[in-house]
Amino acid sequence: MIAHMARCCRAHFRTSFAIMVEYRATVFLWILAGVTPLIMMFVWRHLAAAGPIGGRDPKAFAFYFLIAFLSTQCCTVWVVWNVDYQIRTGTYAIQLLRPFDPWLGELIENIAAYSLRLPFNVLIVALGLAISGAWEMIVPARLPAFVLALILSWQLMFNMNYALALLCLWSERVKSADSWVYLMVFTLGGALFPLDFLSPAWRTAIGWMPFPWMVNFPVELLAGNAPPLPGFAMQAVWLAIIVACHRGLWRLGRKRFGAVGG
Amino acid sequence: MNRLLHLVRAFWANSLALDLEYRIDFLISAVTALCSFGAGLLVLDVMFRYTQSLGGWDFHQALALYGIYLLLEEFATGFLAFNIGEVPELIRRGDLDFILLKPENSQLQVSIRHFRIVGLPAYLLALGILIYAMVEMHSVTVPNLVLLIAFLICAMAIIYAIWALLHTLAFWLVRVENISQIFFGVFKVARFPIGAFPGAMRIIFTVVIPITFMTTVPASAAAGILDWRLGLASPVIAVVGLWLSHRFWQFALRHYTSASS
Repeated sequence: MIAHMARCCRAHFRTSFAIMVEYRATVFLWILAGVTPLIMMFVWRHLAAAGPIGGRDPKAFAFYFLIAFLSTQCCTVWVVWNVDYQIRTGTYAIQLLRPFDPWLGELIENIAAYSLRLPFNVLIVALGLAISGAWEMIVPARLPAFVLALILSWQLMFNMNYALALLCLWSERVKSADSWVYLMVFTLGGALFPLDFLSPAWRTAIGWMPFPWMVNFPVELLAGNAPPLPGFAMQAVWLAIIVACHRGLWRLGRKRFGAVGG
Repeated sequence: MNRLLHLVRAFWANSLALDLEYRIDFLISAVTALCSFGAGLLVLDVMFRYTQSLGGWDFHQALALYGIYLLLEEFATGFLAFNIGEVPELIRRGDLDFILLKPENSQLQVSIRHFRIVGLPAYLLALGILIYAMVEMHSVTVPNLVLLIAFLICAMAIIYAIWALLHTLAFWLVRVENISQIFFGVFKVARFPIGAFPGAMRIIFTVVIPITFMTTVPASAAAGILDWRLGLASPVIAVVGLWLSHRFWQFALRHYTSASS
């Protein structure tokens, strides 16, 4: 049973990866689509050239936004777009015929795209760190925890998108939900300004949401400014809530699915 | 002109009916427009808590610029993306044939087919911020308004021309449906006055990629701090851009081999 499952996954990964390689231009355009943190880096560094802002000099800003760029790139998924398109054009029926949950299919496709794109993201960030001299702020001992935080961020984003995508079973078109999630992750996640620039009241309020733990937390973890335990706990709790949500939606929604198109 | 109005009315009545089919999507768009408005305010608020000026612009000037940015962003995501942005898909599925068969300019047809009523809240919010900022700056005068509208039209023409040039490439490349990300990636720079960036970037985003003419020029007209050299260049770039996009479309059509049977 498990061996059969593993074979299915491997086969799906191979086809997804081949599709990604075929449409590699599309995959790389997502890097360009997510440059906002890098643009913010230029603006904040330019502002800080006259003197440190909020205790950060240009080098600290470079570090913050380069790592934030990496975190947001780990949160770049297009599940909503995919599922929306498939349900509206009727090709979703094909997903249902596959020998595994459509959730797993989307996950594997996502991993295939990441394995093509992330090496380039890491290269860009490494170059940026080297040029700005922020390289020395990285403590190798903190890297394992940082990578774990990134993986949890990615899973949060992926499952949150999947839950929204399933709303499509009721409404047929939820593409706008996609832009809403990205907006929240970038703004409240801290990809536009370091979150410690907000007033304490704001920070407490958004601390209960999943977004700050998806971008700001990995960055501050690597910088050594965030205690690991509360962050990982929040990531895990939110992940559990979101997964429970989309499982529930799936159970209710699949009964409603009537194939569109033909 | 009458004929054009007739065409627009037929197209837009059709897309209104389509939009009303998807009501939840409309609701989410309206919420997103509100959130994106709030997010922009938050960023400016945080920035101006730590500094007095952003590239020489004060808070209300930067706010006016942000209003213009939101307006143009909605123009791109809510209008261009559903019209000229659909060209790769039209070519891939062979649907372009149906458009070419109609007795009307094909570039015009693919450019104005849809108007999404869904975008209306976003346009209204953007205009609201712009007007609020102008009132706060005491810069609501007739010359400022005339210049603002003129430069906004130029900015839209420049953005349209860039989209048309990028998407006409689909005649050769076929699979380019997210080529618009090239635009959106660079357009994010337009969120801030060009002076907020270091010198080299300022030159690139004025001379090589005309980002300065998208938001900085209209916003400086609204604030009454227009640099006349940039103001004169703006309509020139707009006209040249439109002309280029037209020529490129004509050239591409001559190389079009239908995909449908």
